[in-house]
Amino acid sequence: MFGNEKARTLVGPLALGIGLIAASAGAADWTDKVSIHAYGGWAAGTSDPYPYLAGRGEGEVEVENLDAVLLFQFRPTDHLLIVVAPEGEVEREGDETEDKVKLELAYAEWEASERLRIRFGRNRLPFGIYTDIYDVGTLRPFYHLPNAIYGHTGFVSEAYLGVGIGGLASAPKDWELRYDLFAGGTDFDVDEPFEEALEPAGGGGEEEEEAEADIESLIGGRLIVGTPIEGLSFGVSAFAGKPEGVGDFGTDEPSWGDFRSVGVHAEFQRGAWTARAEAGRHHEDEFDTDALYLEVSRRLGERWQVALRGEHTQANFVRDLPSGGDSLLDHDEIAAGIGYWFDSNFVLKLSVHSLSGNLFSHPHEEVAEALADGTLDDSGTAVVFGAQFSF
Amino acid sequence: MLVRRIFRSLLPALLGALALGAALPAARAQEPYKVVINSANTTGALSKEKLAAYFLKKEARWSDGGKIVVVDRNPGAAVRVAFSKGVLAKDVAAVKSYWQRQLFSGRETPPAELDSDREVLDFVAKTPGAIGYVSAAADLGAGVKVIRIGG
Repeated sequence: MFGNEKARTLVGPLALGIGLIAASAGAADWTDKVSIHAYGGWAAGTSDPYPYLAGRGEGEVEVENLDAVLLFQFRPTDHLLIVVAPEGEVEREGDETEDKVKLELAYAEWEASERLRIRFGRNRLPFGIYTDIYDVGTLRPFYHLPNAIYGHTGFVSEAYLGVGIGGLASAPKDWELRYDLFAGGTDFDVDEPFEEALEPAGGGGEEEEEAEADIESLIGGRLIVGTPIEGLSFGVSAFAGKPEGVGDFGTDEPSWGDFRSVGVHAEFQRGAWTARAEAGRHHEDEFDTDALYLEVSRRLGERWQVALRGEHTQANFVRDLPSGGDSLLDHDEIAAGIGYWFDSNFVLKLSVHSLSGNLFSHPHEEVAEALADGTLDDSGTAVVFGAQFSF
Repeated sequence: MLVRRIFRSLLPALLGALALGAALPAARAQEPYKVVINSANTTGALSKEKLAAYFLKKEARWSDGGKIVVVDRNPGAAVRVAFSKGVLAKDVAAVKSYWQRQLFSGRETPPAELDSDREVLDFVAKTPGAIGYVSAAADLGAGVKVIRIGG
């Protein structure tokens, strides 16, 4: 829990800092220096035969998490920005409901110029297209992000704790170069069914716990190139770090670079059309993952949007899986969705998903049991209906 | 002879068509909005590309180094629809999405959205470095001036 624990300790100093700056300003008018925003969503879904996205498997309709983030932005001067964003989540697991509150973001940014911004604290880990707007559902066509890059395979994390710089770099006329560099540490969601399938042999069959990889000495960056073709940009991202301990199936003492991701992306937005694609490779001591997706959407008038997405993920695990367990290592999906925007701040979405492979079935108990019984099905479907907001 | 006679009879029509053709671009150039800046600002003209860079906050400084303060109209205003299409080359929904992305990724905050031409003119008049746009028919008043688009 490297990132979350340390991030929580940041709240006090940041709040104190905001208070001191505000107090020192005397009679200044702060109303135009503080802004409060929020984003989040709620979804219901069904999946068959195993849990996937908002569905909990076996074709039953379930209500997924209610998730909301409050974003406080405080700009005491033209050059200083302080951001604090707590996140609340109501999560259902079977018949039980669990409330969670965590600190999503807490950082201070000093903008020396358009070319150099320095951030300290817990802030967005820059990788690919969606990490900057991870939970902002009004800025994407599907309720869920593509699992290929944003799923539980450790490709990306929502945020890191450390220091980062970014800004616009010099570029030829009509081109734009935006860079980010960062160093720090964080937790990554790494939670795959193939590890659970081997748990009796490798981990003693413990109850499922928060599956996170604590990564330290994390160093990475991203470069986005805006082209002279209106709306077309490309990017490359990479990071590497050192796992804090040996994984359940790892053998060697971890060293720097044992946990790493590299990715490329392309984005095209013009008129009613948006196309986004990402591809990448993630490496850990115990497994590698290759992933890619393509997502195309089109606005129909001001309110409707239709979208298609195809994605592919293939994992390679260091251990042999039980017979019939190959589907735990891969995931192919075709999804079609439709959205209705009441305005730019509120959207309803419906999507249908056809999938092959069980890599992203979550939670995994049903999958592991089916594998043990010899009845594992390697294809499935899911339907998701949800509402998302931001303001 | 026949050719000359046909030419003479067609000449007025040809000249009329040419005159109409020359008039059409002028009519098209009559935008339904005008861009206004504080009267202390020495800028006389800005290209559409430069205006888009200013209004999308891709550039933050005037050529003399002063800070650019952008002011926008509310999303439902007809002048905003025309300005977004004509200068930013996006519809209003796309511009709103752009600002959401800037805001939630922590890069920029969207400009203030005001409810009327009068509010925009008052804001620009009292704010050095301000730039906004109003309906073509709006009365300017003191403290603001119109800049030429293009050149």
